[in-house]
Order: sequence, then C-alpha cells, then structure tokens
Amino acid sequence: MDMSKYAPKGSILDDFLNGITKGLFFVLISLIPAMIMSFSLILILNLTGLMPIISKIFNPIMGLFGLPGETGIALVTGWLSTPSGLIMCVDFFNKGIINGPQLAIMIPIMWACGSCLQMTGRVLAVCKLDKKYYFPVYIISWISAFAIGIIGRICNAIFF
Amino acid sequence: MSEQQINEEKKAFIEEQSHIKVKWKGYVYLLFAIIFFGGFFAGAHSWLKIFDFTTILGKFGVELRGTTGAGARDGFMFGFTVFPSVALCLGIINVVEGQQGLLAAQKLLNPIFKPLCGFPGWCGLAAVTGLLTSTDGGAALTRDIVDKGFISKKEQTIFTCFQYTASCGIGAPLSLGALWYPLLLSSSVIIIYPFLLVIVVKIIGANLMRLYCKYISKEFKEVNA
Repeated sequence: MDMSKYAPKGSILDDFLNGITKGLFFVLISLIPAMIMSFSLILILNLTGLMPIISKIFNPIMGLFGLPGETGIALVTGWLSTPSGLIMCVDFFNKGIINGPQLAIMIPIMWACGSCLQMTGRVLAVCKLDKKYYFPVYIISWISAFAIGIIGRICNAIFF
Repeated sequence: MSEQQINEEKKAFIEEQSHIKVKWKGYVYLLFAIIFFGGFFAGAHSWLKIFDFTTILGKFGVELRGTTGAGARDGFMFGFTVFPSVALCLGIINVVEGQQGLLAAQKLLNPIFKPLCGFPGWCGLAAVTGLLTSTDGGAALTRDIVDKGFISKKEQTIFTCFQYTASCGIGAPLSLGALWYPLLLSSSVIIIYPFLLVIVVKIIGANLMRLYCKYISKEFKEVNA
C-alpha cells in the first residue's frame, strides 16, 4: 500500500491527521493479523501441552539473559514477526511470568534478530546487498541479540 | 555515467548532507518528542501532564477486552484496542518529522556515525529514518545512495547490516508503546531504557560487520591489503 501521500509536508494539522490515518491503516493491515496469529499460536501451544515442553527447551538459553524459558517462544515468534513477539511478552507480563525489567530487555533482543524473512526482502534486497553477505548478516544479528541479552541482564542487575 | 560525473555528484551530495540547515524549531520538536514519548511527566500532578503520551491517550472508560479471552478473538480485540494509541503516536511523529525534528536528530548524530559505526556521516538521513520512522523509508534512502554509486561496497555492506539489525528499533516499539509503557511504569523502569539498548544493538551489529569485513571476508581483506 502506498503511504507516501500521507508523508509530512510541514503543516501541523494536516501532518497530524495524515499520521493518524497512517496509524489506523498500520493497525488494520499489519498489527491485527500479527495479533490474531500470535494469540492463536499461544492457544494452540497451551491446548496441546507444548508450551511447558518448549519453555523447558529454551530455559538454558534464555536463562543466560536472566529470562524464563517461556520467553523463548516469544523470541521465535519475534523472529517471524516482531510485533507478535512483543505482544506475547506483554501477555507473559500480565500472567506474571516476566517482570518489567525483563520485558524491557526482551525488546532489544527481539528487534535485533526479529522479522528475519520480512527484513530480508525489505532491507537486504532493497539495499542491494551482495547475496553472499546475507548469511553473515543473519549470524551477526543473532550474535548482537545474544550480546544485548547479556548486557541487558547486567544492566538489570545493576539498576533494578 | 562517467566516473567524473559520479564524483562531482557525490561531492555535491556530501556537501549538502554535511551542512544541513535546521531551524531552531526542529530542535524544539525533537526535544518535545523525546519528552512526550520518554514518559518524563508520567507522574506529574500539574498541567505538565499534557506532555505525556499515556496521559493524552486517556482511557476507554469501559473494559473493551476482558481478562478471560483466548485465541484469535482475543487477538483481534487486543488489536482493536491499540487503534487509538498507534494512530496518536504516528500522528505526533508525523508532525515532528514535518517540523524538521528528524532533520535535527540527523544533524546531531551525523558526526558520530563514522567513528562509532564505520559508515560515513552523510548516510545519516537513511540511518535516522531507518531507526526512528520506517524500515522501508530507511532502506529506500540507502538504495538511493547505492544506486548513485556514492558508497563503496564495503561501506554498503556495513551500512546495510546496521539497517538490518534492530530495524526500525525505536519507531516500531514506540508505535506499540501503549501496550508496554504502562507495564514498565508500574515496575518503575524508565521508558527510554529499552530504546538505549536498541541503539547499543545497532552499534554492535555494525561493528561486528566491520570486524567481519576486516578479518573474515576474502573480498574486503584483499581491498584492505
């Protein structure tokens, strides 16, 4: 969808209204589908009893960042679609699985490596990156996510 | 296009990008955006409250989404409740962008890109757009620089990696802010904390690509030698 006609032009009132229109379209086209997907996924995982198993698998990895295993599911979901991953984390917070500082560090972790397939088309292909560098970029994004997880854990321990 | 022509165009472009003129109101709007979305006045009791995003967002007054929901229906209702917050957020960002707030951010950040991330400062517009407003906007501006032949292949690789890592890492979580702002505030975590970490992630990503180009990539190793 072409959003360029809603781009800011310098008139405060027009820009404000255009931005609002952009936001409404964004929710309808991107967010609601992502939310329906992630909430259905959570329900499926809960009903099949897979949730506890997956969180057990992720426990050692997420434990490095001071996070419970359940957040691993949010990370995987975030890898497909970052907003869905964030929504899952909010859900986990409401259920008391994670606390505020943990939610705060999940945001950079998920965004570092998130929406991988989408971003390949929207960033790497558009920027005309040589295809042989795609894989290094993925690896680097995962290493960055890992690094920020550790940094976030240290920051959480110091500040909160 | 001849090499000389490209060089001349590049020179003009760099000149233009390194000496961008920002009116004072650009800085005012940038400061306003940081205060408004940063939640600095969330706890204020006076009229200063109007400078806080969650305050202006207000309340529904009725419970739109219950607590016992699950599955696709619950997901839809959750999505429905974020309509006003995303709309308000993008509305304000659009105003700030239109009043040169983004340009001011670019001007302030330009000098630090080269030493900190390894790509030239005049890529700042693409970098700031990709970080603050939209992934696609940032990518399109990068494409423009690449197509015109202004950037070397090594710089392009580093810059693309910077764009990819935590893409739209401030703009996207910000537009979903209504979901998680109140949760962080209730656990007394400052709102800008995750955003600072996002910036750190971006710098780590760009620098890892720098190291990769320097020590691992055969193509660029030869260039270095």
